[in-house]
Amino acid sequence: MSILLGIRHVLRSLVSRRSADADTLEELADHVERQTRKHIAEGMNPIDAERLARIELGGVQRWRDETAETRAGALGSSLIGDCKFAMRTLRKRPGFAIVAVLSLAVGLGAATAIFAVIDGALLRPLPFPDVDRLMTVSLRMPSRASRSVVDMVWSYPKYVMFRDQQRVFDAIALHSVEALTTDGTDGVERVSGEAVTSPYFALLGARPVMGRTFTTAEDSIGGGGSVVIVSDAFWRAHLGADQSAVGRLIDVSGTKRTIIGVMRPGFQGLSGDAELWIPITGARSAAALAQSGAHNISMIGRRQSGITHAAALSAVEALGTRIDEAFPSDDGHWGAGVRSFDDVRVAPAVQRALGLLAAAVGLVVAMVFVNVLTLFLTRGLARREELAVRIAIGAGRTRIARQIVTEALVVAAIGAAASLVVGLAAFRFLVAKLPASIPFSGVQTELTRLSFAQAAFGVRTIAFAVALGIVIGVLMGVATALRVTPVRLLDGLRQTGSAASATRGRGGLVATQIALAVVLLIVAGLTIDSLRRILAVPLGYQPDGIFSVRTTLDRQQLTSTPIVESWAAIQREVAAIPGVVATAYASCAPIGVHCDGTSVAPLGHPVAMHTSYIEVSPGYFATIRTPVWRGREFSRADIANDEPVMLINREAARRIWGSDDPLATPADFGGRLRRVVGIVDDARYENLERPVEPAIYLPAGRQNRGILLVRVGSPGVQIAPDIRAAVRRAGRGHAMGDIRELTDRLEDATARNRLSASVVTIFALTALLLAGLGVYGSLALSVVQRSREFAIRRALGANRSSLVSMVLRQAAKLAVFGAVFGLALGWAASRGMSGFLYEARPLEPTLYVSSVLLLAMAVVGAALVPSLRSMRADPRDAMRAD
Amino acid sequence: MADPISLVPGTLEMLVLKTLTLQPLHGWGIGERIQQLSRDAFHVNQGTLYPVLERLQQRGWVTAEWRASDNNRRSKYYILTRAGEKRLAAERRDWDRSVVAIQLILETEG
Repeated sequence: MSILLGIRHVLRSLVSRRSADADTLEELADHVERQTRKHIAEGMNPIDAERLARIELGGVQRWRDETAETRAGALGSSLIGDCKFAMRTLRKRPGFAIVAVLSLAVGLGAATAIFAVIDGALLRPLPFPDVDRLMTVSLRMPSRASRSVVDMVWSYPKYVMFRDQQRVFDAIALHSVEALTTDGTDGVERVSGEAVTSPYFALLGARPVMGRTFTTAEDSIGGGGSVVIVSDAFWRAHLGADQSAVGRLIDVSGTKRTIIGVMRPGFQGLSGDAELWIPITGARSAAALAQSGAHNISMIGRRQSGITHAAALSAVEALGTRIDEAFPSDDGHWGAGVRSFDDVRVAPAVQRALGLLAAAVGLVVAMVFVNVLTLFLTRGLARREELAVRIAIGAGRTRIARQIVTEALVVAAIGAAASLVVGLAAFRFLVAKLPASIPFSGVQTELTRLSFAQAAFGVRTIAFAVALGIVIGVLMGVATALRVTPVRLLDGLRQTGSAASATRGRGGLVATQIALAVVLLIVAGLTIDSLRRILAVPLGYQPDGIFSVRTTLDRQQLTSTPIVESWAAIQREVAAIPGVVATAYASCAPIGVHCDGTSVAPLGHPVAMHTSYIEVSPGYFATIRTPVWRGREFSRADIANDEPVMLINREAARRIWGSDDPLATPADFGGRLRRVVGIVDDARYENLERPVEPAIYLPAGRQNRGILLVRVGSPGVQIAPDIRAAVRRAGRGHAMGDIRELTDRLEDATARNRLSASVVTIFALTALLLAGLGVYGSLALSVVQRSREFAIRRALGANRSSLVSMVLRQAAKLAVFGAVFGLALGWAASRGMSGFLYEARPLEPTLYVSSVLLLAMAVVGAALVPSLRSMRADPRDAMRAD
Repeated sequence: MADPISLVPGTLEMLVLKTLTLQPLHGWGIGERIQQLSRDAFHVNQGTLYPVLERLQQRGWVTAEWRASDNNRRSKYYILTRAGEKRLAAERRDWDRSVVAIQLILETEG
């Protein structure tokens, strides 16, 4: 009953038009006036009468506080009451609250933005059941170059042996990405597909919505040539969502295949973008499948539920040894191994980068925490006396502790809310800087790319910010309450003794913050420096103005026209487009692609060495503008007469030919002795970070697939539709992929570096801001606390500038301690990072000097306002304070 | 006039409730009325009066409302509720028994 009434009473005061505070004030004014009138009536003069009336009331302020507390207490454990009270206390010191909220907003905002990006790209689980049991099974190939083993995909005969003898997987399946074509409405189109074995779909939990998946009969060699399964997207786009699609014949890379199934919406296979699936046995010839050395098919397996990862690994390793015995190799001993599929998806380099990112987020959150905790502790200590008095007049300790915690939570909540605004802005900035996805390994499939398409600032992000806010709020509140609530009353009342140690503790925290900021500045400097170096890497070709398109020749045309003629016809048509200055084609072109590898031995060299291998048309080097160092490019005659010629890059000349003159030393390649007719400059095809590999170039003209390169006279001209039309004129059945500028691909290739540079910069700036806020908050509070001391100093004759310099000295001391500590930490951190930064130079002195300078500026800037405020100390205040 | 004595501890609530049985009063008026009814024996510490009024409101024994008072001002008047009347009756009973008991003790010879 009485609780209900109490609640009603509080609610009424909450909803009443005027705040309870105003209500109280008016009541008091009324009281004072009546009392004053009474005193006047008793013969007092009006001024004294009013003063006496006020004194009798016991001080308006104290009365209001007490009423407020009674009201808050009336709510019992209700949060609203505590929060209202906390808000009131905070409003008394807006500066403190603003600095605390700003710190939270900036720091948590940065952390939240990064979380949103990573969450969208990575943290979401794969869309397959039992992902924790999905494993990539790979062969392990001995590598002469790196003197270790590298993971390798499977050849069909080795797979058959593995399939028949393994006992640890429920199911295993082969899968490989296939570039397919289909005859669409607008000529032949390229379609992404996968060649798989029959267990693939069940293993990934994918069912067809119509029809069926492959049978074991279609798995057997020669049995899979005439069937195809289509994706939901393909069914809608190419088949008009035909309900009777199953059984229809469609053209797949020039062969008619019967549709046997339509997969459920959203399923795109392990490659993440597959539209069509054909059996492996229908994608490779029986002869190709019989070669035990043709390693070109990936394998995935689902571990039996009772088998641990370790057990599966040792079983696979044992089987790998038996496979090596069955298929001995000249290179050394092969093996086999497994890794969790989810691990493979996120490459180790990415994991390291993410670890670093998480560490940076942690560091920033720690700085925020230190910042706000410093503020709370300082202010709390300043309030010790007041708290002791309140305990003395009967306020419970728990009650006071609860109030402190509530205050911390209120600040944290406001900060977390503000951090969402900051975070959203930072997130937008990051996303604007990002491409839709970033390739993270040489071989590009959708699942090995970090896709940012899904990155969103959604519920999970908000939950993250709120959770961080709550954790910080609680920790902060509890720490403050423990430190501040006087254990014995006298401790609280005898306050001055603890002030010195409090100042020292606060100084330590601020210095730590400065140190952390220095670390992040150094790390950011390193990353930016490394990005600068990457962007300055000599490419070995001129990317601007080059368009490239993956092209597959029409099979029908090839029955009547030689491959070389078909390519030449395409080149003629494309060259006729106004603005085009050169055109060429090649089997592999920059950048971000993995070119085929082979090994080659110059005459007189006993060991064949690894090199990448690219087939190029005449005029290729002129088109991409790779300088020919010695000799010449291929000529049309080389191709027409099938001359045994090759070109090599300088790295191949240096590493493989060594002291022999390449132009005078032919090499054995594929059982045929080839003359080296030219040496070209080193060019980067795969990525910008790794050193250039040796490469050999052979005349093109035997492959029906290649990359068509088109150089225009003035970069920026959009001629993609013209190129498409020109190729179609040369043959309606030629299939083309996306037409992209090489500069786009380059952006992709550096996206990761640019991303880390912007992320780290955001962190460093955040850290700088936080350190500034920390210094500001700490000094500002200390100036307020010491205002009496300053006033006394002024009264004793200290001039203003000496007070200012005293405060600045205090700041400088913090900065020096922090910087020294930070430099040491930063040195250690940069050494740790140099492993995955391109040509990072952890000992670059300018980096350290500029980091410290930047920080010094921030500290001085932050110290300026509080120190100037110390000048305002009025000697008269010395008497008045407290 | 004799010097005022301090209130018997714990009785302020009861006295406030009692003053409100006659008519609603504002805070200042309650203090005055107690002083007047006690023939100036009790002077209510005004600083403690308002917290008590706040508490009485919370418990539902009094309610408050703003009313026009003399010379066109607004004052906050406190009004005794039904629950307050019951409470007062109960407190009176207890008080009377206490007084009797105390008297018994004090009047014991020896």
